[in-house]
Amino acid sequence: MQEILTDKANIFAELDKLRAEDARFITITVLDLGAQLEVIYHFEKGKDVVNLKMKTDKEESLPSITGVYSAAFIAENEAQDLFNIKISGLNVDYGGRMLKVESASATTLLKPVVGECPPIMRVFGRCREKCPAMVNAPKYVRQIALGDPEGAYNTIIEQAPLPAILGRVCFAPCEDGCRQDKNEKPLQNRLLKRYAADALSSLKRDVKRMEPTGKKVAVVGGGPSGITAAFYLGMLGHNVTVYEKMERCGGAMFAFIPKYRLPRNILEAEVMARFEEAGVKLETGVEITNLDALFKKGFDAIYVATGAWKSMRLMIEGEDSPGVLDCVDFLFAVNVRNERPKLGGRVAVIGGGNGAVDAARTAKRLGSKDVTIFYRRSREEMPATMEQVQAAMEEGVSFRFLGSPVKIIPGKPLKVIFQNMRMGEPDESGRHKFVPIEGSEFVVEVDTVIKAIGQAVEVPKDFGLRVDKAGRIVVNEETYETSVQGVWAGGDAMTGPTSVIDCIKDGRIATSAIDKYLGGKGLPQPSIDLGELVCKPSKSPEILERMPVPARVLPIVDRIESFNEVELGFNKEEAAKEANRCWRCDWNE
Amino acid sequence: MPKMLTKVLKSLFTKPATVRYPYVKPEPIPGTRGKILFDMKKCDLCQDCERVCPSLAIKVFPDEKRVEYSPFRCLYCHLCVESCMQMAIIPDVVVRAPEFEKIIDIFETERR
Amino acid sequence: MNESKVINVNTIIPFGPQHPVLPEPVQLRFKFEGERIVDVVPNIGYVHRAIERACELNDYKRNVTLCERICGICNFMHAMAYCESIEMITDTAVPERAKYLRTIWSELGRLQSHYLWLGLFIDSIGFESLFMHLWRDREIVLMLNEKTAGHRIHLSTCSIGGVKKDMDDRLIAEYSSSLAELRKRMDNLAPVFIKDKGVQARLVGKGILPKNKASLLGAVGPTVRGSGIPQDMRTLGYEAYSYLDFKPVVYDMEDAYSRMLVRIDEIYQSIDLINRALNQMPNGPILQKNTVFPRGTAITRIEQPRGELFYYVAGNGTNKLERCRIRTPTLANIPALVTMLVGHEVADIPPVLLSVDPCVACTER
Repeated sequence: MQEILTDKANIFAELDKLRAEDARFITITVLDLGAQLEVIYHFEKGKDVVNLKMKTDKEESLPSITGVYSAAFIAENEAQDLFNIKISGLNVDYGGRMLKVESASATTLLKPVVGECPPIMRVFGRCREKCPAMVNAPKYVRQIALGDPEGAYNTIIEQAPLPAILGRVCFAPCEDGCRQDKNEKPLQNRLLKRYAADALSSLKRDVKRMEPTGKKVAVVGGGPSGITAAFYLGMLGHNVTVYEKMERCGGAMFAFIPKYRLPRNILEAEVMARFEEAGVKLETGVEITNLDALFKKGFDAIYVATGAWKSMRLMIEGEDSPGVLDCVDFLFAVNVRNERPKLGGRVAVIGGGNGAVDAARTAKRLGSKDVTIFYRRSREEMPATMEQVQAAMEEGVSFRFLGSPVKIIPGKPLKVIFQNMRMGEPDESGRHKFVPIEGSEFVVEVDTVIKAIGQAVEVPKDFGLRVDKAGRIVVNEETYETSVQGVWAGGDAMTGPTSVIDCIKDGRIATSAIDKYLGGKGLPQPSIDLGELVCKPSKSPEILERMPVPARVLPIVDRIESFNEVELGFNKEEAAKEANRCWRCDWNE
Repeated sequence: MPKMLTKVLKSLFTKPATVRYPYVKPEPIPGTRGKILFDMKKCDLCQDCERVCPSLAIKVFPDEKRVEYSPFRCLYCHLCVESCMQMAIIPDVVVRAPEFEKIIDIFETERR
Repeated sequence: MNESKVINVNTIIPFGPQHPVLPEPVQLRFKFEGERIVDVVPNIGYVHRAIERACELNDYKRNVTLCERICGICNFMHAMAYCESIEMITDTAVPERAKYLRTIWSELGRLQSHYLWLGLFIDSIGFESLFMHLWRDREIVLMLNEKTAGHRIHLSTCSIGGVKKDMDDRLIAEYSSSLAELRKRMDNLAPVFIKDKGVQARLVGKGILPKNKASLLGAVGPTVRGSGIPQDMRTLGYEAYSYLDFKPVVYDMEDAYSRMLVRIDEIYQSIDLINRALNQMPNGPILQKNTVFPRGTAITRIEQPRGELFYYVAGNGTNKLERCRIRTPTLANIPALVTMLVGHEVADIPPVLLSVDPCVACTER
C-alpha cells in the first residue's frame, strides 16, 4: 500500500501523474478527525493500491475529480450525502437524490441504528466483585498461568497487602463467586495466591514510596486492619507509627489463628517486609490508653484498630468452675505464650464458629483423644467454613448438633447438662428460630470445657469515642470517621469479629479518608485496562482443564502429632495447570 | 432448439424436483440451525449470550433471574450456543413458525 | 388525406424500482428519442441500511455477522474480506487448512451466484424452462451448504483468525460426488444456450463496452473480462489461490454474449478449483484466535462473483472500529452501465442490464 499526501493546490498534478501511469480509480473514504476531515482517494496501480490523502476543513468545498476520472461521479455523490461535504464542479450532478437521510442530528451523519445500544462488557469478573477488597483475581490468575509469580504478587498487593497470609487463612468469597461451581469445582484462588507468595525468594519488593508529605499518622493496634492502613498510608508518603500491645505484630492472626494454619515465620516475614517497604515504625509492647496524649506528640491523624478481645459469657450456672476455659485465654496461651496446658482426655468445645474449630483442633494436638464440638443449631447454620469443618472431621473431632448447654456441675470430671433443640418457625427475615424440647436433657462428662461462642469489642473509656450497645465504635458509614475529629476506626473494633479480608477492606477505606483529610487524593479506585496481559485463550473444550488440581496436604496420621503446617500448597506445574482452568469471565472474547 | 426439445420431452417423464410441502415434509438435515431453548437448571445468568448476539434477541435480567428470548428477532446464527460455557442453550433443527403477534419467550430460574 | 409527420419527442421514462423484469430495486430514468435511448440517469438508495455506520457502533467481533448480511448471494466473501482486514491489522496468521477451507467455500458461493445469474439472464430473454433447469442444479449447491454449516445461504463459518467448522472425510466425498454430478449436468445444458440461434440473435452485439474505455470507466469483474482485459483479483494470491494454479478467463467480443461465456467458463473453473483444493488440503488446526484490539489501517481486495470488492478498515486501539469503508463491484460498474445503454432500444434493456449482474443490496449497504 503506497501513500501520497497532498493538499488542494497540488491534487490535480498528482491526479494527472496517476492517469499517465494508467491507474484505475477505486473509491473515496472520508474520516472524521474532529475539526477537519481527511479524504482518501484509493487508486489501483498495477497490482498495488495507492492512497492519495488530503486534509480539509469541514466547511470548505472540495473540487470534483470527474474531470480527470469521470467514473468517480458515483463515489463523489455518495460521499457528498454520507459526510455532508461539498464538492463543486461535479460533472454529473444528481442534485442530492442519491441517498436520502432523514432525521440525522448534527453530530451523527446517518440515521442511528434502530434498537438499543450494544451492552457494555463486564468490567470485573464475579470473583473480583465478591472480594471485599476487590483484589484483581482474574489478573493474577492469568499472570500465574503465564509463569509470572512476581507480577501476580504485585497485583495482589495493589489491593490487599498480605498475599502469603491470605493464601493460608482467607475464607475466599471469590471462590463462591466463581462460575465453574455448577458442574465442577470452583477455581482454587486461595492456593494460587499462596503459590504466588511462596514462589518468590524474598517477600521484600523493590518499590518506591511517594514523596514525603511531612504528616504523621498513628495507628493503634497492629492487626490486619492496622497493618493495611499503615502500609498504604506509608506508600502514599505519610510518616506512620504503629503501636501494638503485644510483643509481636499480627493481632488476631497472631493470637487466634493456630500455627498449623499460619506458620509464625511467614507472618513475621510478610508483615516486616511491608513495613520496610512503606517506611513504617513499629513499637511493640506499648499500650495506648489516651488519644490526646498522641495528639500532643504531634500526630495529625489517628487510626484505631484495636480488635475484639473480650470473651462473651454463656450466662449459665457453673460457668466459672475450674476446668472451664475460655477460647480467647486458651488460644492466647497456646499461640502467644507457647504454653501447653493439660486438658485431660475428654474435651467439650461449645460454639460453632472458626474459633471453636481452631480450639478443637488445637486440643487434639495437645493430646486429648476425645474432642467434641457442641453447637446449638444444625450443620447448615454453622458459621465456620466448610473446609475447616471437614479438616476437623478428618482429624477425629466429633460434632454434636442441636444441643445447648444449661448447667455445668463442677467436680472431677465436670458434668455438663445439655438440652436438645429443634428447629422452630421462621421469623420475618426467613431465619428459623431454635426452640428447646422440654424435658429432653442429656449429661456429658468431660475433663475440660472450652467456651467459644464469640468475642465482644471493648474499647478503653479514655479514648472518648462513642460506642454502641454492643461496645463497637460508631463511625460515619462512608469515611469511617469517629465522633472525635481526626480519629478514624475500623476492623473488628468497628464491625465486631469478622475475617481478615474484611478488616483489610476497612483499612483501605480509612486510608482513603485519612489521606484526603491530610490533603492527598486517596487510593485509586479499582479499574480495568483494555488490551492488557494477553494470554493464550482457552474457551474451546479440548484445551480447557475441567478437573481441579488436588491440593497437597499432610497425611492425616502426621497431622495431630505436631503444629506443622497442614496444607502444602502448589508447585509450579500444578499452579500453572490450575490457573489455566480459568474461564476469564472479565475478558470479553 | 432441437437439443432443448429433447430435454423438455425427457423431463416430462422424470420425477419432479419439487417437494409437495406441506403434504410431504422433507427430512431435516442434522446440524441445521433452528430455534433455541434455554435449560435454566444450568444457566448461571452470566450474560455472555447477550453480549455475543448480533441482533440483540436475548435479554438477561440477573437481579430478577429471568432470561427473555424473542424468536422473531433471532437470526438463527447459533453464536450463543457456541459461547455458553455451561452448555445451557439447546439448538433445534426447525425454525419457529410464524405468528400473528410478536411473542417473547420468558425463561425463569429459581437458583441463585 | 393523411399527412404523417414524424414527431421527435423526448420522453423520460422511469424504469422504476418495482418492475416485473427488473430483478433489483434500482431506478433508471431513460431519456428516449422515439425508441432509442439517448441518456440514462441512475438513482440508487432504496435499500440503504447504514451498515458502515453500524460497523462503528458495534464491537469489532460482532461486525463479522453484520458484514455477512450485506448481501445474500455473495455473503461468504464479505465476511472473509472483513476478517482478512482485521487479521492484517492485528498480524494474526491464519492456519493453512483454514485458508483452503475459505477458498473452497468462496468458490462454492461463486458457483451458486453464477447459477442464479444464468437463470435470471435467460429468463429475461424469455427462455423460462431453461431458467427452471438451472435453478434445479443450484439446489445441489445449496444442499451442500446446508450439510456443511447448517444453513442454505448464510454459512456463518468465517471468523477472525480462521474458520469455525471443519470438514470430515464423509463430507469431502459428498462434495466430490455432487460436483461431478454438477459438471455432468452443465455439460448437457451449456451447448443449449451457447449454440442456440435465438439466444445469439438477442445477445450478440448488444451492450458493447469498448476495450479502451472499460478500464477508464472503472469497471470490474466479468464486465471487463468480457472486453479483453485480464483483470481478476484472484491473481493477487490471497487465501489459498497462490497454491492453486489460477488464470483469469478472458473473452474479447465486448458484448453481452461474451460476458455470458465468461461466466459459464468460470463455473467450470470453480468446479476445478474446488476439486484441486480438496485434494491438496493439509491437516491441522483451523482457528488461531486473535488477542489484541486492532490499531492501524488495512486494505483488502477480493474477487466476488460480480467483480472486485474493496474493504478499508481503520482501527484505533479500542474495541470499536474507527471506520469501515466498503466499495462493492456493482457500484463500480454503474458508470460502465450508463455508457453501455446509450443507443439501444427498449426491448434490449433487460438483457444488457442483467449482463452487468447488478446486486443492489451490496451497492446500498
